[in-house]
Amino acid sequence: MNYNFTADEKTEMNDLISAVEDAKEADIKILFKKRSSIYLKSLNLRILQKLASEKNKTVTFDVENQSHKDYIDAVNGDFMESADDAVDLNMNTKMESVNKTSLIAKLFNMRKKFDTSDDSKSKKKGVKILIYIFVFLFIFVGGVFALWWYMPSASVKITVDSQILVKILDVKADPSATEVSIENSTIPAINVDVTVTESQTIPTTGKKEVGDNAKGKITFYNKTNDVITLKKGTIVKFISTDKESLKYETQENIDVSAQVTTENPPNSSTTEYGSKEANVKAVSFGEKYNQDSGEKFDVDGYDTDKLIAENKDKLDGGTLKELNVVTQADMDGLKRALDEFIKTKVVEALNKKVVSSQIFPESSAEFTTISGVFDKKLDEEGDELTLTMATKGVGIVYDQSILDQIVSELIKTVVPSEYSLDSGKPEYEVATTKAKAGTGIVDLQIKLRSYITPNLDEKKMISDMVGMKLDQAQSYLNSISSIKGFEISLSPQMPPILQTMPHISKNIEIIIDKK
Amino acid sequence: MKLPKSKAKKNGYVVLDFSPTSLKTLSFEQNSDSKKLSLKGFSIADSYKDLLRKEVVTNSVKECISQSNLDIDDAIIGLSGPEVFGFTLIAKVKRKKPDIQITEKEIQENYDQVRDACYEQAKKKWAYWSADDDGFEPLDLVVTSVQIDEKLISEPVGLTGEFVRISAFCSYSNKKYYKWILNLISDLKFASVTVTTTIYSESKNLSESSKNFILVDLGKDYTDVAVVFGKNIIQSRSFEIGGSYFTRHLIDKIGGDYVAANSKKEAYSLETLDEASMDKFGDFLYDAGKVWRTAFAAALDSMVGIKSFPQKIYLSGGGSMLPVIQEILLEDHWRKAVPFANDIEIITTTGKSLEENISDEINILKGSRMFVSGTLGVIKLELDQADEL
Repeated sequence: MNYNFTADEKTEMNDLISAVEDAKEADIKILFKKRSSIYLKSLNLRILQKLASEKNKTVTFDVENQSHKDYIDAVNGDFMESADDAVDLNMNTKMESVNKTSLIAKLFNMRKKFDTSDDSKSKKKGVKILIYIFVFLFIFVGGVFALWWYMPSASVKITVDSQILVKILDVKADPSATEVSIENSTIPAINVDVTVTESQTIPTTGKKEVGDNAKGKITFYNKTNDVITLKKGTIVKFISTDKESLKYETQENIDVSAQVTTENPPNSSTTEYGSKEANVKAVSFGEKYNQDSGEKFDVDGYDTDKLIAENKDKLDGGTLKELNVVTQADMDGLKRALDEFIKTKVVEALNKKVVSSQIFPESSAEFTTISGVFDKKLDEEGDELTLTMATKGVGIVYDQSILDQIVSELIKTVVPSEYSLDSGKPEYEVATTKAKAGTGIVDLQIKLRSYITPNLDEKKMISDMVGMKLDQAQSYLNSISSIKGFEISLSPQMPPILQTMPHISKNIEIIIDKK
Repeated sequence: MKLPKSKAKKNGYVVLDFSPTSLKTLSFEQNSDSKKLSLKGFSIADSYKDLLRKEVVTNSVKECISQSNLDIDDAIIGLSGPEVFGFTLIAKVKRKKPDIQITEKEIQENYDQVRDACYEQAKKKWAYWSADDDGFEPLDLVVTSVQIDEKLISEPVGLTGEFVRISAFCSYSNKKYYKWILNLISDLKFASVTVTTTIYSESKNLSESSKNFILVDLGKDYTDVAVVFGKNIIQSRSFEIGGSYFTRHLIDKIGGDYVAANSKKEAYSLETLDEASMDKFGDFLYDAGKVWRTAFAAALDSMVGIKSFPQKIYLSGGGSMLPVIQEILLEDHWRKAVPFANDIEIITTTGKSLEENISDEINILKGSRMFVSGTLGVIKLELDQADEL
């Protein structure tokens, strides 16, 4: 049959509505594949029928799942028995008794009819003939009955849906174990170790200033009438044009003599400031402290109208240089980076030690730093810093075939009792691994993915179906929820009235098709 | 019969409003007098057409609880969507000895019979609605009214009469879905106070002001519909067309991704688009709305046995904020095929009816989007009250 639309498990109501609305044909046929679920609710199908009807179309449905044929036929035929919402609680038992009574009455009437028809008015000869006929008929019917009873055979092909079993299994890989333990979910493992030495160099990031202090001589001028004593270390300040104050300190104790005033009669006098030269030195490095001659300086603690200084010669010799030095951050960062790097090298080295049938879960690796040496100290001058480290790594390794072996055993414990495991190797993957610190044991989380099929008690099914009418057998098989579809083939073909399941159990064969 | 409940331990609890593709979580603090709840936190988790992932649920619930700063052990779970269904069963019993007073034992036997009858009816309905082989699990079973000789009574024990008529609302969930939810709750280390249907909690709240109405909860991926007569849910349905259908329709028309189309849809609802865009998007959404309306009509149509539907329609859920929903429902011609007694009246639910029971400290219950989850919160008060009785 040609279908306008085939719906599978991904089909949604929107798709079906579009299929009905957009169809050019007036008679739309929709097939629902086995895994489709949208047809399971009859109201969805009613809605599609109503939508089609509004567009002067008709829609009929078909299903792949044979056990839903009656249901879909009922939807197509617009016939469904509906349950009442009112019940008479007294009726249940009463109805049963009425039915029984009427059945007895019917049997009684039949018996009476039979009795009255057994009115013996025939002659002896006729009776004889009748007896022969009865005997012949008895033998014939008996023969036919025996054939009907013993000969037919039936082949019942049952489809069951395999289901995916997804389970998480926890398995321990333990180096101290010597054999596989199903009970403890443990497999033996071995320790593998390597030592790796690596160096790494980074540019240093710290800065340090070095240089020489500017120095020279300056002369102090005392504008007071008292001697001014300046101790070694007295600060004199040069005020530059950009108002940066550059400080210098005296290098010795000095006394600056008081000013001297000389009277020049009759009305004038001259004053000569007291003066003293002293060595000074800039308080810090830098060329900016170098000064040309003739600059003026303030003296710390004195107003310029009392004490002032001036350099007759240049102040020079000031220099500045910036150097790279090692910082704590450089050392920490390098240690971290090399630590990470060396761990990858250790894992690489461990992997190289593993042979093809072995598995090394990288998360099992445990690392120990054996040595770590920096080529420079903290604050030491230098453009680069180098660290050389040696790290030991220990990993746990197990055999793939041993893991296969334990998974094959453990899977049997997780299959629900009403299911059986499909044959074939179970599919699984090691989802996560986690090493238990200090124990040397690795926990493997196994994500298992396998197929299981519902168990069917074939013997019981055969014994239940023996002698059943064909429709009874169909209902019986329909009632078993784990059966997704079935096909009954009877041999030889009989008239419908005689079509029953064989009366001999060995004549019924059940073939299970797992999908 | 009451909602099934296990004992609560602390004064805070969460409400988990589940559909198969979304979860709204609210956290409440119950004041010491137990008369009013304080809403302290909320979170929303969505997935488009996929079953919610466990970690999404876990994170969303944790987010809500951390907002509220409460120590929470208990959860009220509300389920919605096509994996859940409910109906009211009316059971009649003719008593053998009408003159003898009804005893506790007799009425309990009747209730047990009602429970069994509900389950039998549910099996038939499930076969009618669904080809799903998973089966179903019972959720709510609530006696909504008892009549003796056509007289409504509150407590039948000690009374006499010939005919007892019991109305019970029962609801069920797809078994696989139910187990999935319970596993999640167990993983979250919550004790489930009760598992109910959102349609029950919502109709219970709205029944305070109306007796007969249709309740439409237009959620993200599903629309739940319930018909309520005499304050009892008579039948409920759910179909797989919700607010996201409108978004998908916009994607078909204008292209782009889901997020962009959804933001256009919301902007349309808030009327913040320019005039030309309002017209353009209004036309697209109107077309999608017509499909939704057909689905709604099909849902009503499938409720056999209802001869005339209530005229009052309550709209709730985020999807109901689309103005086009009211517009298309108020059109005349579609109602010719659906038996309404009178012209319909549409009411959008708001948090107002929750104010009596909930102090909304985070101001999220205003609109219709969180109304349903809010009604689940109030279920706790109903359970406490039932305990006291």
